[in-house]
Amino acid sequence: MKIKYQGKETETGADTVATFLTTQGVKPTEAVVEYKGDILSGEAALAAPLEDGADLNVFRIVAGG
Amino acid sequence: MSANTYLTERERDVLESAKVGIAGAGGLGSNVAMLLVRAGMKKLVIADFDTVNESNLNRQFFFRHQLGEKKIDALAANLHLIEPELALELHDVRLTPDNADFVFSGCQIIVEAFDSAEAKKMLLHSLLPTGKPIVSAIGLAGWGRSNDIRTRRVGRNLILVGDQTRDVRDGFAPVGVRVTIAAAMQANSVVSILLGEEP
Repeated sequence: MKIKYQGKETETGADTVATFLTTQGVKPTEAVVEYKGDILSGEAALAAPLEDGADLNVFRIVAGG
Repeated sequence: MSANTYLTERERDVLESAKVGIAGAGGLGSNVAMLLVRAGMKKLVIADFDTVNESNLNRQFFFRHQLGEKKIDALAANLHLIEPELALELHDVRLTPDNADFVFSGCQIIVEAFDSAEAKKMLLHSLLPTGKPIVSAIGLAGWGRSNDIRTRRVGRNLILVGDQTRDVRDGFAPVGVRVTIAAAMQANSVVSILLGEEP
């Protein structure tokens, strides 16, 4: 299926958000994960099934302030 | 009387009666607090456990004679020099998942102003489920590339300021010229939300 990841159309065989993030090398605990307009937090939320055409954005949490 | 005479009566009323929480009184938080008070706000809840040290002076709203003082006390003193009639709630605590919601329970908006990535993660995971607007700053270290710092809405109640890239752990120094850009954008977002506009 194709999803919109970080604003770009991306082909993937992953079935859940968590699985897809693993393929991208993203650790959900180190980022804010936004899927279909909602922020996903916790294992249960990240196990959400990936849907064709859905929007997924990841914002890294870095240090500094 | 508010220090800001450029506002309409309605705008002054809104800002003076609103209560905003600021998690961290360092480079981001001290400058956000300063700007919100200058904008006309009076009610702030500020939480920080740290003391002022010399390395803070390059970006934080403190002065040399305040070295060694508790940041919340030094910041309160500085804010009162701008506006004597403030209603500040000061919390000398390390925020945790167990106390963050309680500390900011009376606030309409919470500003995430920590320096460590772990603390940022903790606060976002603890407070985003409340549904209150959280204005967080992530990715603001170093200098240059001012235009990489953006404000964006994420999810239903997160306003994210920063570039989400420049990490002090990668060697980018926290310096005032860029940290204060992010702080001003956070303060701007707070004022916009309170006055009913897009941040």
